[in-house]
Amino acid sequence: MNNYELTLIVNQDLESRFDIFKESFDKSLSEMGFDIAFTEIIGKRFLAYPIQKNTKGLYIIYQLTGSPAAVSDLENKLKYDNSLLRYFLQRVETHTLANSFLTEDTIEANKKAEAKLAHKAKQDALEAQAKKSNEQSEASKDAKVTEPEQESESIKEENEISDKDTEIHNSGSDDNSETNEDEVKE
Amino acid sequence: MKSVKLPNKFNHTNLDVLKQFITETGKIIPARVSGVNAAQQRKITQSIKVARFLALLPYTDQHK
Repeated sequence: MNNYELTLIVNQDLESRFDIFKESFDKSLSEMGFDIAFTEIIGKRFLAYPIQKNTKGLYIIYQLTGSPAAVSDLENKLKYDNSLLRYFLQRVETHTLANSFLTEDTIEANKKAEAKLAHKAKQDALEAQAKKSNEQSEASKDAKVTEPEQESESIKEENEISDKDTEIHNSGSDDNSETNEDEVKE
Repeated sequence: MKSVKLPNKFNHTNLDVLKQFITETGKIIPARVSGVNAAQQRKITQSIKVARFLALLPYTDQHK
């Protein structure tokens, strides 16, 4: 009898029927003669790269004990299981009977995603409010709004002109200093 | 080179450890750069390759 670790990536379309899938999978494992020492259900995770056009997958890690003969049966089953994106069966010396870093990581990632969504919803609401108030103010101050815009444009132009002046001035002064140095050298 | 934190026990699920040993483009950093010993580097590369297969780490930054 050897110890094995089996990692599965299940298609995310099965999320609603995940419990049923897991039950049937556990059953088939025990039928093949495997003892399940520990099951870690990590849940939905973003894949680092798309697999068969899927961007998310459901991760499970099984810690199994079984005979080498049963492994070939299991691999045959896994190979032709269409609900799996990937599987990874590895022989281990000792089982890890605790949740891995992945569970923690996934929970954190999900929390962040939720926070982002909440933040977006808030911002959208604020923008909608701002738009509403803008529309109301624009309706009342149509004539007044156009005048200050023109003024600001003219101010910008003035600024640009003044910048150019200073540049020219600077370059001129540089030239002077260089010529002065040359004269000194001579 | 920034100092690396390498625990005594880790495997392909310890992404926070393994992410220290890949570049922004997803390449494995050589031991002569990271300064870990040969036995550690063998374990790190093996773990990274498993993590890549399980879509926990990227092979490259150009995945579509």
